[in-house]
Amino acid sequence: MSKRMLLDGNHAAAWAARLARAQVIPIYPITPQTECCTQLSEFVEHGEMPWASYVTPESEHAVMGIACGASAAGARVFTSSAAQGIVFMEENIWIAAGNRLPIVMCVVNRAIANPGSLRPDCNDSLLQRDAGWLQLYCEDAQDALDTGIQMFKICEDERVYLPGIFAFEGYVVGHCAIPVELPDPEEVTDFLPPYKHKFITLDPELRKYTTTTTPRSGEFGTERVYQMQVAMENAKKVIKEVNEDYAKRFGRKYGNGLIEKYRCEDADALLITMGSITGTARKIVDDLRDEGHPIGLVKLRSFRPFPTEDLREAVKGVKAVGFVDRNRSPGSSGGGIGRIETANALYALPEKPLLLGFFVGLVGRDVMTSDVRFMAEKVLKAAETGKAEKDIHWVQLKGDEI
Amino acid sequence: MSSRTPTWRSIPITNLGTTKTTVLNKTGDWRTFRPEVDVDKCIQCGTCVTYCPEGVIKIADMGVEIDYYFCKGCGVCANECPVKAIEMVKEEK
Repeated sequence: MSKRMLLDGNHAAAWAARLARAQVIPIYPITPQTECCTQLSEFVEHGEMPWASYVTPESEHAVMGIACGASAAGARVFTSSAAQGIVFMEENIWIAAGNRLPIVMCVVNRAIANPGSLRPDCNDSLLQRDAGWLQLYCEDAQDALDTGIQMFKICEDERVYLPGIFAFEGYVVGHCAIPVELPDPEEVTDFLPPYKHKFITLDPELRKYTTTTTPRSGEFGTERVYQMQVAMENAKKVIKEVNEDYAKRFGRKYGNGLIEKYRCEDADALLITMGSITGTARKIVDDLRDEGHPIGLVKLRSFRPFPTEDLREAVKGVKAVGFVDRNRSPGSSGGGIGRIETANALYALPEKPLLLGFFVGLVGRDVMTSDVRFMAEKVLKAAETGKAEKDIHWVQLKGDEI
Repeated sequence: MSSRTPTWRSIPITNLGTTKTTVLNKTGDWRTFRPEVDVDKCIQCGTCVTYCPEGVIKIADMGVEIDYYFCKGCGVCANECPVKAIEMVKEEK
């Protein structure tokens, strides 16, 4: 039986791990992820996850090391972390991807110090964009639950075999409780069969490795990286398939899996958002549409693989696009990480829209409807006049931009 | 490219479960000094076998045997030998 509970993002992520029957959970608490950690601890302690081993290592670095070992040994592995924790586990994050271990990690976004905050921006997960992890961004607790369950299925697909992050912003999603539909556990098991890696196994007869890295891998380094690139391309298809399958079984769907378009019909201007800002932007798009302005919204659900083809399709006939970046990249080629990727994705188009970039919500600053309206109006104005007064806006900056 | 040359399509996607790292890779070739046993002095007490951090020394019928493929030349055996039967000799490259 499916049921409905009042859950915040953290608890929804813990429920996703429980419903997915994660077998090994190495985890280390850090604000704002702690509630995910404690909820799973409670599940295991109360015997509600009798199949699971809850491991409490000395650090996040050890967490990801244990996650790699457990995943290689054939266990379905879940962990979660944030900010400094993610930075600390960096080394093993690359090992996990390079060894093609389908570990699922929930990142409860928090600004990396310094200037740091307990509150969110998205640099901690975006920092991992080159490591070979899939990355899906969630806008509320329900999204977190559904994406968490889907993530296991996507990562464990033999066309993919890569680890995956599903991320949402701390506090804004992480601590904001909403009614969440929990699917029936047996239906989830039906959707997500037990994990069995095709190439890596615990069977001593088949297990021939002695360590997890080898100097010999350098010999075929280029080929191994290319294999990961192919897996990422495959993942675009798999994410769409899993999204469809999930929608059929549980009745909830997230766009086409990679992006979600909102009121994009005949739009001259588009905002692209990730995570929680999407909800605020929907409201602003509604308001502006009511006022007769041709604006639409694209929620970028998948950042890795980056949905280049889908974005090119979405901007057809659009005059101006604005990327809402809740991350920093000082000294970049222009704007935040999202705008950089989008610029690259759209560069090959013969007719390109204007591309604006907005820094907003940095180091945990709240993003208000007035901020989103400001950005939407800038994009609309660029679409109307055919010219952007500025490419990059520091939306909430106190003091003048130079 | 010959048809036998491995490509991204033919090689395994992971190191795990596919290589015998410490079996395939000879790790003694970065040694600077090699331990050499003076069989006349050696009393075959087994102290070096116990102390060797790499586990490459064993007592065989012919006396002490050292696996030079894996010996790193750390010299612990020579230091611990109670009768000073092991000498560290510089490797000629």
